[in-house]
Amino acid sequence: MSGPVPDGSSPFRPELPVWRRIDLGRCSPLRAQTFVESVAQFVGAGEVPNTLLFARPDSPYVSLGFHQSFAEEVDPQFVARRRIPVIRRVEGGGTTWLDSDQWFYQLVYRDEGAGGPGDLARFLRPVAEAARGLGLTLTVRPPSDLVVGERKISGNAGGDWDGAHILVGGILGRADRQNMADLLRLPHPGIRPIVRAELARWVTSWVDETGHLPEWTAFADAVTTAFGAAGLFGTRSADPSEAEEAHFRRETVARHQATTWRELPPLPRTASSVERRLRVAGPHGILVLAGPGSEERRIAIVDGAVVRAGYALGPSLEAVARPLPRESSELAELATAVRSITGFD
Amino acid sequence: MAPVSFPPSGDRPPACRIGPDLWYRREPDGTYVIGLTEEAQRRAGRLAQYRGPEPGRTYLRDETVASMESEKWVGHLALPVDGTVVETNPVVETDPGTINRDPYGTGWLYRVRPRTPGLLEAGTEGTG
Repeated sequence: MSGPVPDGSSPFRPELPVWRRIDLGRCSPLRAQTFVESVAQFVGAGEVPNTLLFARPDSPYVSLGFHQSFAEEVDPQFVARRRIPVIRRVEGGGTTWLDSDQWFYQLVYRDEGAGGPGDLARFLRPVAEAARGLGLTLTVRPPSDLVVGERKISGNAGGDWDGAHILVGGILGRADRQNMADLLRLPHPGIRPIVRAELARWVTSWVDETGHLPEWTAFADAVTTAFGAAGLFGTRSADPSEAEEAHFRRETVARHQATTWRELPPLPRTASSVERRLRVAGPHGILVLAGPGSEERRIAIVDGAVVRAGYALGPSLEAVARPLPRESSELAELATAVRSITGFD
Repeated sequence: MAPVSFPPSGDRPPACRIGPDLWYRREPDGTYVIGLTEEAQRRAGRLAQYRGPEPGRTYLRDETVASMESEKWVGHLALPVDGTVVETNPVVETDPGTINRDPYGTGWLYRVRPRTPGLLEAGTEGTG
């Protein structure tokens, strides 16, 4: 059995399993998001080693979680006007705005880790260590976030695909909160400023925290080194195989370009008073509920199971959401209504 | 179509297992009710999303027919035998947490009629 081959970024620890390290560099959104699916086909079949990939999308796009509905989540006018592609990933989680100021790390493996949510924390700790080495203290907020204090800087998700486990994540170099809010389909335009404000409160970025961006390669090298230092795996640099490239062109791209894939029907829902449920970051979210009057709405700002604030919104499209005063009976009634609904935990 | 009716008794053992993830119980009409084992639901964590197979559709063995998601991780379930899905459980589609709470009862997933009667028993582990 041969040990890891030093490649300038991975610590040489012969006892560790050897993964491939593939740097896709700056590439199209579809390649940055979905090339891992082709890699999974070959990792799952045992034809190539487990693989660590790095990528940066060269232009913006919207990514849907595997079970999410395009019709429910995304404002179709926003993506059509901006010609923003919408890509349904095979991993879980919510709707996200992704752009060239985000750095992706992706793991594809089949025999180290059982798969499932337990793998997220295990593989995210080294990413947090890598960031610390570059001067930014991140911590893992289970199940899948990296945070600075309470503010999210990295979303992560996983899935089983073609016999392999896939974990995908990204660090926000810069956070485009405007587009993060604007891409969402909302039942009333008066909700959007609230979404922006909550994103400003709970989402941060490397530039927000440090005032600068580290070199992309420094980040990728630090993450690679951290996986080795954590005793998980060493790496050897590699290019994608011809078979992986061919599979990507022939099958992965074709699947993602099919309208039937992007526009899977929504999952059935239990009848509920919740008109829209927006997870902002981790336990922080927004619930839009029917109000007491016809076409009125109540908006609950929720931290876990606690209603931090509330708004009332009338039916007019020009209406501005009215904050519900603290200690008011209106806010108390909203909190009571939310108590019977699963919060964001 | 014979109704599937399980009492909500989460501690009741399944009739038979298919690997570590699935259990089945044979119905009098020759169909099989399929569910997720206690072990598998624990490993999956608290389920938040579930998409089941299409009722009336015929699938091949090992074809992916269902997906589920917990804590941002998506897993897939394959059909254990060539056959036609004759019924799905609407309760788990609107409330996937039912699978966690009562995997051997109200959290059953779907009912399948194998193309070859009795084939499902071959190679499975009987526990009931």
